[in-house]
Amino acid sequence: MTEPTTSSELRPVEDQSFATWVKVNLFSPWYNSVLTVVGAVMVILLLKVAIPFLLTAQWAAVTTNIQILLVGQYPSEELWRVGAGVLPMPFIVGAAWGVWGSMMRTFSVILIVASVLTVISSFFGDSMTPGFVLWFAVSPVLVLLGYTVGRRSFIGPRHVLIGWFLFLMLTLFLLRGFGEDSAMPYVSTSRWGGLLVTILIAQVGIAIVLPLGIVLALARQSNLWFFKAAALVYIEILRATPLLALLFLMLIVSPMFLPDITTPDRLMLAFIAIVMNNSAYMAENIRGGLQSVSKGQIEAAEALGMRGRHVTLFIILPQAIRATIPAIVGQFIILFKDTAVIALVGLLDLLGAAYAIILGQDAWRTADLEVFLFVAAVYWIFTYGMSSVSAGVEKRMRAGAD
Amino acid sequence: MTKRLFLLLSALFVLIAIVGCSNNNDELQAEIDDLNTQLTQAKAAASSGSSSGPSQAELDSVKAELEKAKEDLANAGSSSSVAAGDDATQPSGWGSRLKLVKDRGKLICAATNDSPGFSFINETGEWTGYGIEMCKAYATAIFGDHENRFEMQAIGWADRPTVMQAGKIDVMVLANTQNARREATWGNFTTIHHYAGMGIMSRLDSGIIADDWMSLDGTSVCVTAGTNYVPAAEDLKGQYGIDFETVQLADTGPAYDEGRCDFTIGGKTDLGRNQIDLTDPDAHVVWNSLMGKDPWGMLVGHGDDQWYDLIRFVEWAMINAEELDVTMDNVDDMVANSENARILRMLGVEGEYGQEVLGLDIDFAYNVIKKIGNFDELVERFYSINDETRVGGFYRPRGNDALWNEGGLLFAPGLE
Amino acid sequence: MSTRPSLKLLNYHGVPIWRNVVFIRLAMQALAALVVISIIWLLATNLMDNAEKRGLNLSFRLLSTNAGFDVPYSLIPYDSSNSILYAFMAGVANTLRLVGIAMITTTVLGILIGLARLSSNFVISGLAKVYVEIMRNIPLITFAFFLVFGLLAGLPKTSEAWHLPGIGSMSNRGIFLTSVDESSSLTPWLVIVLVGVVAAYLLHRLYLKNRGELRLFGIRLNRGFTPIVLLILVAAVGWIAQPDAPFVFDQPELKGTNFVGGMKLTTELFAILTALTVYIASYVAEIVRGSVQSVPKGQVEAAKALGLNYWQVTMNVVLPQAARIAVLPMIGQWVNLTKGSALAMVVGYAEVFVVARTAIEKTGMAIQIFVMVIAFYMIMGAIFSLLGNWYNRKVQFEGR
Repeated sequence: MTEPTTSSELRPVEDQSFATWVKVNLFSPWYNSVLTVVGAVMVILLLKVAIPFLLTAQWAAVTTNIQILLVGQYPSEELWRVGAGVLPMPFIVGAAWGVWGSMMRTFSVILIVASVLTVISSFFGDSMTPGFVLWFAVSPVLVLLGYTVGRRSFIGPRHVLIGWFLFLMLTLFLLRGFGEDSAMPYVSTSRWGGLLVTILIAQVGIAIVLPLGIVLALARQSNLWFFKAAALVYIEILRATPLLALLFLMLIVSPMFLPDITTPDRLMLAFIAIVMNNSAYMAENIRGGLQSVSKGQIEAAEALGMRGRHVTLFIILPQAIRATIPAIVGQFIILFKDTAVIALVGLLDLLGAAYAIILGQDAWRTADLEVFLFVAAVYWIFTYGMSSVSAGVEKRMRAGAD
Repeated sequence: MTKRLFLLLSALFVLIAIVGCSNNNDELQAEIDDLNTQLTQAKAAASSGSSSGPSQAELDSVKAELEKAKEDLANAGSSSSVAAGDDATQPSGWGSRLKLVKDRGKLICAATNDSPGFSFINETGEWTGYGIEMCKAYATAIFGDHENRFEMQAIGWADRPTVMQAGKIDVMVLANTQNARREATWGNFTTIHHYAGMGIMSRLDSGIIADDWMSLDGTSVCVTAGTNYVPAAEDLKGQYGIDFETVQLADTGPAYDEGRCDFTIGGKTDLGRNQIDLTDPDAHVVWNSLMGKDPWGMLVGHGDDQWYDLIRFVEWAMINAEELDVTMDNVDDMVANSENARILRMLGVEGEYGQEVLGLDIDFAYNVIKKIGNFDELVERFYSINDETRVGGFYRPRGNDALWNEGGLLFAPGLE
Repeated sequence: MSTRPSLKLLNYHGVPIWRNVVFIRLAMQALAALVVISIIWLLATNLMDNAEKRGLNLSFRLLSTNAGFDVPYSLIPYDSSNSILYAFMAGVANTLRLVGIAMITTTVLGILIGLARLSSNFVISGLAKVYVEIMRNIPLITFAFFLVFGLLAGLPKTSEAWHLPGIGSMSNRGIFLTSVDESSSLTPWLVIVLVGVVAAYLLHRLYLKNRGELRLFGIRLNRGFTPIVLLILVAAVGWIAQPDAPFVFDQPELKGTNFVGGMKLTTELFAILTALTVYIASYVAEIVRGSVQSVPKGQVEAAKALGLNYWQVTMNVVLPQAARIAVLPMIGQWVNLTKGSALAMVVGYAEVFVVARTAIEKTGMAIQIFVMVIAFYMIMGAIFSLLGNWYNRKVQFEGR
């Protein structure tokens, strides 16, 4: 997190016993005392409402449906493929922790803590199948394993990124399966769901949105009028349209524009909508970076006889991307949160699963708060992890700039 | 590099041009050739007089298919000459949907996942409910089995017309209220499977007097967005010259329970069940008066009569099976021992009564009843009074849905 | 720039055509255009085919038919006999109301929380930080779901509504406030007030004439104060002199289970407003914090050295500079707000997207209505982007 730069820093260092700290920080001018009291009352009121609710809530709505919430409608007998396919992820996170250090620490620690808590909570109820428990028990070990690997000097950021990409492809193949008769029968994407889909869309989206954004930003800056105009129209339309409207357009309306013989893959359509929306923003972020590269750099490169293409690729782009890394990471976080909207077009992602449970299952029609609280907590864990990475990146960049 | 790019783009352009101009008459021609060989083989087998050879019925069916394929080819040729050849790749008219489904190898049904008993997702992530069983029944009739032969697609209530118009799904298995407007703009409603009435549930403390329409003046109502109840509420205002606040929500349950509205509109049978779920069921009353009709049916797209008839054939078979007391358990026995001509005809023992024209197997009804059950068995699975045998639904009395000869409205055309 | 080859395409100094830069550029653009056009053409023919096959209506004519559905809590007068186009406009008006209110509430709350985060008070800055970290890290739609269920359950029923005598009451049917309505005597009163304004202005001129010095019965009258006092006096006389007051206070009354009269803010609008405000305010707070921290420390120190107190430093040195940095990202958040308003679908507030879906259900004209929806959001986006550009230009001229 960023350091405070307000008046507290300007104060000379003094005797910091607890009493003086409290006095200076909480009660020094009279209005500060009022604020402190108001704040404390708010906290107490909140806890007074929250604690009894948390203790008496129908958590069984979540635990009995944990399978839909985590993997959606993926066939029960094929669940090992999900487990195996997603297993490299904690390892990659751990490796990233090892390579990038403190930047990834919070994210890794959050993953470990969440997994351990899940395992512990499984002792209190028997609704979780052993496979799930095993997965959550193994993943912290994998994070630590990845960390030790990542610490080795011959592993660099490049290896982690390539490894992540390869593992992602592997995961997708494993989840999709091959033929009807093979050991891993084909599982249509209409059965993928829950947290699995949320995470997959986010990861694949991140892998695609950045290059697409770069291409769009370059096209926007291009002096070929058609590419420029096309990029401009694309970016402006998509930036103005709410993702929800775009999703409806893609999933509900776009089949009207396709011939009858096609059966559009709805998950793919939703994915395309999310990528389209986010790539337009990404293009604008990167365009800002492109504009921030000083003209002198370009002129110097041209003076050295570099060709236009090479100037763009080796001089402008690296600097532009470096300058916009915080914005890029911020966009990734937005992309992850955006995935929740696909619940409204009938897909069974984490939020969609929650909705299906509350509305569809007769027994849990009154357990809405519990299920939504669980869903919000899961989103929070991941997004907070990503935010901490983003904060780390910003900190590192500021340190580099000074 | 640039040269390669140039060539690549040129190739792409040529490819697009080719795809744009071609049509698939070759495919139809190949099919005709295939059928011709089948026909000659069948004739040879028949003339050799072996008992294991194909029956006359099979021979006829191949002939019929051949005639139809030839017709298709002729149609495709003529239409391509008229419409510049770009739409000949798409099937249209009679039989197109069935061909599409068979080529795909899967039936695609659309449903919402928010209706307990009708269509919802259970704890293991499986689609369950009356609607899903019907989808399985259609798949069984077409393919002989439903395992891996059907796929569910979740949609929202308000998206139904668009989904039907896009035509990417085969059947919409939903509690669709049939009305004239929808019949014209959405698609064809198949057999009505539930004769609900549009009912009202009101709070006792709201000053609304049950069955007194005028007492609704100045109150507020919760209706599910995107359903027929939204315009119905408007009609009610006009009819009695009253005014009330309309709250359109995706899920009216919690809102009504917490007192956001004074009354709610829904299928009367569902209202009775929703009442049980409320915090204080005794503080609410379901009206005896009805706002209007609320007949529920499945939906198929416009433009393919064969598909429409096929879907109804499956439903009729299930209803007739109930009428004739053919059940999942006794169907084998019926095939072997029954002497009732109607039963034998329905189960395909006696031969064709229209199945083949619709592209169904001769024993499709046997398959459906064996694997899904008759109409009553299906309804009992989700709406039975018995809590133990029911899976995920709720008790709903048959009422108007009883058979025509038992005082209800439900009937299927006869089998004579 | 490198030297441009001429348009002698086929043979330029022995350069084959596929290596001729001018040709390559032209060809690449032409091919790209061709690909785009052919894709659009393919989609359009498919649509026409489908329309023909299933009898779709692709004309906009049906928009003038009776809507037959309600647009609850419409800002403009609406009933179900209006046309579908009018219903759409009612939806647009509802969206504008939502966005308009939310822009104000979001900005105010965001600034408060941003300043709280900068506070030296540990409890306050801690609370603000927790708030920002929770809100920024869950999706808006999850929060909206959560909020609508929470609000319905948490607010009392109308029979047990929370009352604030004279002002209004709050229940799970919404907030009902005492409204201020005009009465028959409003127009004469406004005329009297106008007279007062003219008199005050004349008095002001008189001051200018007399070099800021005016005396009445020997008492020196304050220059800034007196015209205002005069205005208030005239207005008060006008108020009292008439038989009834120019404004009527309409207090909401509980009739049955509904409140009648007064001003209404339905639960649905309240829910989506709260969701958007609370959510977007966390981003605004970060913008405020970032822009305040980006004001160079030297500025603050210099201002303090000049003897300005904390309040003066904040108001005259820090905030003006911070505001300049904050405005553009702030407009970005307003755009986000506009787009986020589409999530009102979750809570049941009838904004443009909800009305559009209802209209599609009623008429089956998905494509036409979606074109209108997208056009609306594009116009909103364009307005905000013009606003941003205008501000940018203004700041640049002043600043550099």
